[in-house]
Amino acid sequence: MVNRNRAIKIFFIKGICLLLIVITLDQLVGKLLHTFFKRETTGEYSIANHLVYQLKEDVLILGSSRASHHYNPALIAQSLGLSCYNGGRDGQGILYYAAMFKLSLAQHRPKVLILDMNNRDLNFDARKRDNLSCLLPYLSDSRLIDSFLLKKSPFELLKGQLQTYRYNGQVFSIIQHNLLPGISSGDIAGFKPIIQKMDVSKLNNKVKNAEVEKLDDDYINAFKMIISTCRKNGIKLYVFVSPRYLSAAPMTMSVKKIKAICKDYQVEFNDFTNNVEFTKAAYFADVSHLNVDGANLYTHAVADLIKKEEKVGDQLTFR
Amino acid sequence: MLFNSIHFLLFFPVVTAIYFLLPHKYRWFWLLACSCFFYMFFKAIYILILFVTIIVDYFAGIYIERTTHPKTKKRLLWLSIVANIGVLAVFKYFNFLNDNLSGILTWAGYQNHIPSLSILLPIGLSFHTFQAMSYTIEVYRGRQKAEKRFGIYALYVMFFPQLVAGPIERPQNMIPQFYKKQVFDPIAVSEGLKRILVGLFKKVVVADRLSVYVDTVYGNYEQHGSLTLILATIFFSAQIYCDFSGYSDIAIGAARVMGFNLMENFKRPYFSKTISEFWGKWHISLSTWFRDYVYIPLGGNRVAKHKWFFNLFVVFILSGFWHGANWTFIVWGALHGLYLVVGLYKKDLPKGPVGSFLAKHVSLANYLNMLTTFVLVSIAWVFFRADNMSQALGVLQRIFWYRPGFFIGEPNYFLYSIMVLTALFLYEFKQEYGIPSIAFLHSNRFSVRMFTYVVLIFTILLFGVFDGSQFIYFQF
Repeated sequence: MVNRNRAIKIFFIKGICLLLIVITLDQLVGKLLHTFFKRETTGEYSIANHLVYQLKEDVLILGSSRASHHYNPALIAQSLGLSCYNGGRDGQGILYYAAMFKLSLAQHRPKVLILDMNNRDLNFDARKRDNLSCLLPYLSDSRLIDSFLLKKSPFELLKGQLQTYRYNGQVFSIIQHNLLPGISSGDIAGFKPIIQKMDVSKLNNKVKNAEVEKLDDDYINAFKMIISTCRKNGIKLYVFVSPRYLSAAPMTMSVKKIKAICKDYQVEFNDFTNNVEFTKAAYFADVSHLNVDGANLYTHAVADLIKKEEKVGDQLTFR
Repeated sequence: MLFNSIHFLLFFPVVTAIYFLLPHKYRWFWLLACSCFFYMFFKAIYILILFVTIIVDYFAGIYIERTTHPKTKKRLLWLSIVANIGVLAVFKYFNFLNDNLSGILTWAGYQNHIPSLSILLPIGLSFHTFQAMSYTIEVYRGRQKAEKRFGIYALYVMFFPQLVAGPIERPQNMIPQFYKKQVFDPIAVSEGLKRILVGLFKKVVVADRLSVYVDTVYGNYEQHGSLTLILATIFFSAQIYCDFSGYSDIAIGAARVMGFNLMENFKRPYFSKTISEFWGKWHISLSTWFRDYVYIPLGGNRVAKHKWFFNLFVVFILSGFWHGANWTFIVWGALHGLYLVVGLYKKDLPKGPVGSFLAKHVSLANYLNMLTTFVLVSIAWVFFRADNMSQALGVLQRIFWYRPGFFIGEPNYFLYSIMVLTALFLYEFKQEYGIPSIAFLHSNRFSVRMFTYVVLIFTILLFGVFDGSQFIYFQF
């Protein structure tokens, strides 16, 4: 009995030792990884890092991969005479745009926000909630994103207390982009032009079954939050739905909702989904993404629209 | 509740702590209540299905034991089997059978008016129905006394570590353990926790990491070349092994922490030199179930050769069908049956110079046999992984008729996959060949053990996939 009690005592002492070692190492490794993470100026996180740590541009573009491939900041800068940065990111949705907007505002207040919305951005999508884990590294800098991480899972903040968990799946990327920073991520002020042209013969012509659309209240609230934050901070907001190839389909519930909210809040909304200027296959890389030619043409159209909207005499109102 | 979720991370220590603090007479109730909670976490209403089969099997067991009439005994056994298989038939196989019936009727110029059912398959249904059936069969055979306490029998079927994906236990092993007073044994707890850690590593670091590449390639197999599809298939072989054996490790470990011993379910199957050996090391609890309750009653190998081969085929086709209501699983099972039969015919080494060379170099012959077995098993996995027969045949066609091109995907993730696969191979190799000088988790030195725990924990945190993915075998 005495021996058993002693064995139990030793077991718990060893357990506590292990716990202390893990907690200490977690803090140390987490801090080290964060230091190197912040230095990443190339790679997957370089654009998000620019928004959080270095943003100084007047025009900010937010959205998914469609934003990152469709808006050329150089053309907007040239047309409006304002500096511009494209903060679009692959596979993300409205919760990410809202979180990045909050984080970037803490760094700098842009004059204009161009928000590129997908035709299903307000629809429920579990995958996009999962993708929010890419916000975890910024927990070390700000608690502004807590509410967004909780949309991924009620336990995400608890898990995020582990410093190393915040850099899950990124160790090689951090090493690579610190040791080999010369490898370019291929973006120009966040813009990722696609050179290739779509091969129409390879398009899948199968008729897809109509998806049942279900709007997500969290996504709607995040969209409204962006609008109200822009109002509060005097930022001019433009909401766009950029072109798709041959999308003669009726307007999705999501776009209808976006349009209705924009109308309610008197926000400039432009839907290019069925715009006749963008029906040529030569402008597209695939059905959802414009190639560089299409992107440049589209960016000109966007810049002209903003210019027309904001011009009073020879001056732009937000200059 | 998933073993790789934070819910389980909170659930398990609380359950275990209260379990050891409670007096022995209340522990069964605590475990049963926790098992119900664990199961209801998936879809609460489905616990009613479990209760129905538990009630039927509980009374069937008692009456089988009580009655002296062999015919009545048999009828009661069949009642229990039909109840269990009936639940499986409705929830798992109805739509498959109905779809095939529709196909046949349409071909014959008729219409099938039976509507399909839109119901979700209760999680782990095939596992607990098979475990329940093993109880009534054992009682019928007189090798197990009917359990009089309803709660203990319910706990035998519902014990949460092995409720949804096995190991499929036998009553002789489990029921006496619920009566035994388990004490907090630091050695058992430590062994159990190590096993959980290894299982988590296999699941979140290896299986889920490899699945990223496998899903990408198989999801769009028409666009990929032969080498990519070969690599994706090898990755899938490792993925399914780590997914399922990882689950079994966590189940065995969790039970061990509480003082229970579950049967081993895997013994490094990819080091097998024959298909027959593979089945002695892969999903052991299911293969022994089929051996004891189907193969041997059919006559096993103590019959004429053609009947023996027929028995093998029946068992493997049933095993395939057990996995899922899809032709891909049936073909997967049949393929293994075919491998076994061909293996029995071609037991000897090839004749001629190659044969005599291999006879002289036994270890080379062994490695070649291992490789051949792995290749055969991997080819069969193509059917297991594919969504339908046309996808499976499409993948195999592209593998065997060379198509150029090699897909890496996200380079970092590809590098992780190669790294974790290498780590897995080294770990399994060390386990298989028991190199005593290299001991990590079981080293005599505390510092080495501590170092290994820390490395494993940080590998899981930094390289694991935490998107709450399910275990592949849950769907069965």
